[in-house]
Parts: sequence; C-alpha cells; structure tokens
Amino acid sequence: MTTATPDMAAPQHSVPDDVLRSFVEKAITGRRVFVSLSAVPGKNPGGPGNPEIRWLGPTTAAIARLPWFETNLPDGRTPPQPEAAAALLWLLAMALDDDTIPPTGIIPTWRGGVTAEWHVNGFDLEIECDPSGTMEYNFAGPGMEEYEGPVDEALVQLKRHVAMLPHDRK
Amino acid sequence: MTSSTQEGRLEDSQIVMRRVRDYEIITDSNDGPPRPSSNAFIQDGPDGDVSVYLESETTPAHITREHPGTYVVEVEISAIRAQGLDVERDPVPGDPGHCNITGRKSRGKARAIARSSRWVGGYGPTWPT
Repeated sequence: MTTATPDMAAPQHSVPDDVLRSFVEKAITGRRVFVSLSAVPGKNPGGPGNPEIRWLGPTTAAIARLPWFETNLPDGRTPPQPEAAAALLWLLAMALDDDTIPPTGIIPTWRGGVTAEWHVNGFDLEIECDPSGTMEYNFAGPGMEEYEGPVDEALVQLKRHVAMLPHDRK
Repeated sequence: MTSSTQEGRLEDSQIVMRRVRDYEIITDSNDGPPRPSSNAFIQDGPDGDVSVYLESETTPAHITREHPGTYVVEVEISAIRAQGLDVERDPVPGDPGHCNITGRKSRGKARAIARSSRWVGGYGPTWPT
C-alpha cells in the first residue's frame, strides 16, 4: 500500500505510509486501497490503465494546508491527526467511483478529525473521519430526507449519496 | 442590557457572535460567498459546548484581540433555537457576555446555523485560493 503525497506540500505534510497502513488495517479489515504517486497530477503518465484521479491532487493539497503544526490552538483543540487524514483519503478513494466529483473543502474538527465537504446546488455532503477510526457523514438534498450517521460498512449508501451530488461531466 | 436578560433566559432577538478560524471557512456551490463550516458550530471544548459572545456586551474587535487569528460572525439566538439548541450564559473573566450553545449539535443543525450567520468585523480570509 502506498499513500499519496501532496504535489505542492513539504514532505512533512504527507501522510506517513506506515500510519496509513496500520490505520486502515485496524479500522477496516480486509480492504485495501492503492493510491499511487503516479495518480498525483503532474506525475501521472496517463493512459487507459492509469487514469488520472482528478480529485486527488486538490484534496491532498487541501489536507496539506491544514494547521498540522499550529501551536497554541484555542480551547484545547487537537491538531489534525494523520490517522484521520489517511482514513479520509482511503474512504474517498473507495467511495468516489466517478472522477467527475466537484472539488471538496477540507476542514479540521475540534477533536483532530478531518472533514470533506461538498455544498453544490442545494446538495450537502459532509464526511468526517475521526482519529479513533469513526467515520460518519451527513447528506441532505432538495426535497430529500436528511441522513446523518455512520458510514455503512459496504459503502453502498454513501456511494448512492455521492452519486446524487451534481457532478462536473464536461 | 437589562437585569432581567442578564439573569434570565436570553431573548430570541438577541445576537451572539462566534469566532471562526480561517481553516473553518467553506463556500456554497464552490463559488458562493465564504461562510463558516458546520465544524465551527459543532464543538470547541471537551463538553461539546460552543462558545459565543453576546453582541450587546462585547465587540468583534475585543474577540479578535483576545483570540488572534480569528474572524467573527454573528447570528440571532432565534436561529439557534430553531434548530432545537439553546444559548446559556457562561461568564468568564474578561468576557461577562460569554455564553455557550448547548444541546446536541448534529452536522445538519450546525450547518443551518452557519448559513444563518453573517460576517462582522475582522473578516478578510484568503481561503480558498
């Protein structure tokens, strides 16, 4: 298993490979994700067998901009934890089958978790990964019943909700 | 500020201010105006409460001076109560108008409150770029 390295980030911003491996193996037994360096824009050789993952570069760059090393965080806030970022990247790699997903916003939580957010044309999707391994999300859309709860183990429901987001299929 | 509101239940029409870090700012429809993420209204302490400040008893400048690197939004208490939450006084040294948003804050509720908020003094984030 290989982790993604932000194209624009300093090396210390990348999620350590061993952290990703141990976290994923602990959290989701039997599943694997392979996000190679070749998928990062600018390093992608392209070709049918190695399509570019468009969301990956901006997402990892946004993760790299989180306040990893900010000192004196207010109110006892925990800095973002690599385990949470690794879990989020893993979850996105598993759930975003369609690469036309719009860009996401990456926001840290008070507990050291990381959230990916989409707010597009009245649809809202917020996915939170906690350092403890908890994965939850909220989905709301026009005229639809809001969902808020854990990520289902098979990701069926999450993938269905992701598919409802307006995509950029230009 | 009357003594009744200092000692009793805060009124729906009162306004509270919330500080927001630059990494807690998001946009709607990716190109809409920046607003606080729901994360800014979910938790900022181990007990789950969210700190806010009565507009009638402090200023955005005071908040940003006490908490450097933050921006400030304001929201009516009625918008918070519309989500089934409440605002309770919790005076702290130097901030007698400090309050907490109490109650269980789901992402949906926090997002609705964030969308009801308006930027006040000190706003000028560079994110997203």
